[in-house]
Amino acid sequence: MQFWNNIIQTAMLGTKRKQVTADELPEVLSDAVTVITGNTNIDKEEQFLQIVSLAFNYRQCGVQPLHKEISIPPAPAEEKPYCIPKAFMVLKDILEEDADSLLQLWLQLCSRKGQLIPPSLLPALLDKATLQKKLRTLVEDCMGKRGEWLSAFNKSWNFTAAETAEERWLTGKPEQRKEVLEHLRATNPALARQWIQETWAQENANSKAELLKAFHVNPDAKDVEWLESIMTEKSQKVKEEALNLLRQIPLSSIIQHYWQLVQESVRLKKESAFLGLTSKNVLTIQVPADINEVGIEKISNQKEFTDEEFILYQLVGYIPPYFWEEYFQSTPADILQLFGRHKTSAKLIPAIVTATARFKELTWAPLFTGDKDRHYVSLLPLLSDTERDAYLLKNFEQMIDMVIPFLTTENTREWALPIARAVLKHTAANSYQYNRSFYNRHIHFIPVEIAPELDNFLPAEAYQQHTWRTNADYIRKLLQLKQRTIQSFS
Amino acid sequence: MALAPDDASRKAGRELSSPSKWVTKGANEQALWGECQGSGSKPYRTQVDLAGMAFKCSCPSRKFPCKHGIGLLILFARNAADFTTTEAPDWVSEWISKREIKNTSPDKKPAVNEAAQAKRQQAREQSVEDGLSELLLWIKDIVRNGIVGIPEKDTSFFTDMAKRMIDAKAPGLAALIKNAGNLSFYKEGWQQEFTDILVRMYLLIAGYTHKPAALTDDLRSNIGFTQSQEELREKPGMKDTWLVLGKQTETEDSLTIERNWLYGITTQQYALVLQFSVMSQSMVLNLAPGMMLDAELVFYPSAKPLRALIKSQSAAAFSSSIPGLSGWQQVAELETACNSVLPFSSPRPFLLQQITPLQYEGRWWLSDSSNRLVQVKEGFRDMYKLLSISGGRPVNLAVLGNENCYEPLGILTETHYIFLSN
Repeated sequence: MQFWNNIIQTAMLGTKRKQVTADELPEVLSDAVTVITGNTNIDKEEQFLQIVSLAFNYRQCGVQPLHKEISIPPAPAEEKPYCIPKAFMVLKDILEEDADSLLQLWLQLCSRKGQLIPPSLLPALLDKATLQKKLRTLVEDCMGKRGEWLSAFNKSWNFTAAETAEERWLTGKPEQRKEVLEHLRATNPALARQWIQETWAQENANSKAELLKAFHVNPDAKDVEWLESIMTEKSQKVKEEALNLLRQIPLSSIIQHYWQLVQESVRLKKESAFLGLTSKNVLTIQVPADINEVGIEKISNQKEFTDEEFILYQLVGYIPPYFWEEYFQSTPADILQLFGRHKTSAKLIPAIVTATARFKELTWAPLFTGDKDRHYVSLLPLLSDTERDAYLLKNFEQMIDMVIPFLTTENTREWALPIARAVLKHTAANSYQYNRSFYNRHIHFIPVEIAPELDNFLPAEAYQQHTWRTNADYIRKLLQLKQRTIQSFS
Repeated sequence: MALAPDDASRKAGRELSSPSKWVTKGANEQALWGECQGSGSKPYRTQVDLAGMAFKCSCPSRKFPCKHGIGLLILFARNAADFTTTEAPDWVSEWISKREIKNTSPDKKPAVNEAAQAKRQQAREQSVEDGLSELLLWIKDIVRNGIVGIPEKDTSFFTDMAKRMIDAKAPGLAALIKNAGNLSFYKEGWQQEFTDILVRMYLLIAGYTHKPAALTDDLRSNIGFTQSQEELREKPGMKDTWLVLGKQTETEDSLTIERNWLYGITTQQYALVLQFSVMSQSMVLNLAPGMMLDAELVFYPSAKPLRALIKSQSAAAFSSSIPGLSGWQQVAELETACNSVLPFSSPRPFLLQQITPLQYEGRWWLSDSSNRLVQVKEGFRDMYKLLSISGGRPVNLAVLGNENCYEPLGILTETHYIFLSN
């Protein structure tokens, strides 16, 4: 609309500098413009305002929509069914409540059922997945063809693009590359090793150290040769990371060397008993004086350990427990009994626990749960569900500082009712530490069946009671959403 | 949720949608009620008239509906089965019957001193005329010096003149001046928007001076003269089943303005029902997009009637066959017809069939079945929601706008209406 641009130009400059002329306007307005400009009863400003009013009406009346053949390919038909309306309503409520842990549960159930998110909520879910990586795979599972089609219109939803893992490895951002490598380590460790070897020379020291962290997933004897070869790298960070990895692999030279030192220090000796009528095995501990190993502290930082004992303690922490079984030709229970017989060797038991957790020795882990003096949170992932719950309930108060972080981060399953009761009893009495945000983040762990019992956790202190009542109402509401979610997909 | 007066009420309502908060709850065809345990010893009694979508609560809140009313509605929407279907208790049935009586009986009018009224009217006219003369000088001054210097003007340049218009009893013009001052002068195209507002003001001034008979009512209402709602209510209205196409709420200082866009499915007439509230107090009507009403609407006198008040209403079932316009050419013709009789009209709603949202040259457009396109209003937040629902296929779409730029309001399907800003 050139005529309107001419008017705007005049409006910008002002009528004291410029006036609109008839030839700047559509011909059809000429007569009217002539009448206006010929009216000497009004000033230049009013003449301009009248001309603009005329052109304004002409512009508004003359608007024609753009005529152009443009089309976008429609979204392909879905192959899976949409979730039922009840599930849709719950999803809306979950989004309104901003309950992301329930959103994750909703998506897991929807994905398991092979159903889809209704189109009207796809943009909100894609936005959520953009911000929260953990939701991405689930959203991709449930977004269907419509979601794939829609993502192509918004660059920030690019995570859904069908980019291969190799493409992301070669061209992605540092954190994306690490993520790809971690994922690949879980499914194909050899290929992950091959990829990093191929690009190793081009990586800088920081990137090398970061990418090596991905090898904590499934550390493998086949990694040893390469990891030992990079111990000659200049970067201290890289060397430390490689050493950490090698110390998780029983067949690595470093572990074998530690084992050799430990074998020299811990020996089995037969002692006669009952006036020589019988004999029993005892351990003798003799630490060589000149041990000087990389990554092993030489000065004890614990008063109950001498420097030598402390060195041995650290070394034992790197010895896979099954080495002891072969060494003593005995069962794990008997070996522990053997260590427990003498004060010096008994001090090494926590180091064996460290090694059990490090090498994920499932058969050894339950043996330490009977220890009344020490409680080991590192063993929790190695115990069966029943063993773990029993261990936690027995030692809940003593382990409390470690239990809740474990139950809310490393644990993946819903808490059993007795565990939920113990947790809520504690959190209710510590309302400043465990506020609504805590329950919002972890509601997927809390079983729906606990809802009628929430009032039972009312703290004794009057000042905490109001807060708990409010929190309990909030938990009830979230549990109701959780129940509706479960019912929607049952 | 669209009924909530503000975000805080929406949030508080959600908090109260937990069953444990409600000591009793019940429902029947006419109403919904419940007793909510608050901080006091007695629970608050909350009731909702489902037919007229009205609320009442014994809590002291000044907001309307209060958080208890919203909480009760959410709870009912989520768990209708938890509500006992019994006869309403006395406190509910009394209120419902009072509402029915109120809806049917006319209000008694106080006696009017006609002479005093005429004198007040004359004084008002004079005051407005004086104000308009001053405003014309102000506009001419801007036009003479050019609008190039406008972005550098102090805010008082606009607020002083707006205040003057308030004093002159021309609040409609005061609002236009405020709008001009509130334009984003960093945004490309402000010059056009500013010029449009100047023209609109000039048309109102010139129109009020020349007093064309056909535009008298429009000029007066745009300048800010109020129309007696009692008088309007006495006039016969337009009866139809109305679909609420959209709702826009705007708050300035302590005044909340609610614009409800309605569409009569038989008459194919559009309507704008305005409501005002001060300090988040109650709105008389609780309208939500997608709602269907059997209602009688009385339109404010205008060369092209749009603003209306609801004289009577009751809830209606969703109708599956709702006619709409065939495309943008038809919209352009209607717009032209409207502008030819009302040169200062504001954006209007339209319901169109078979509209496809699409991207072209980096912008969003709405295409009809004849490949005619208009632009989507810049800043429209729910473009991806519209796109996702459409899946690249045509949908029946309600829009609000003018010239070549429209804001989508909602999608009409066979079974329901999806409000896009929800």
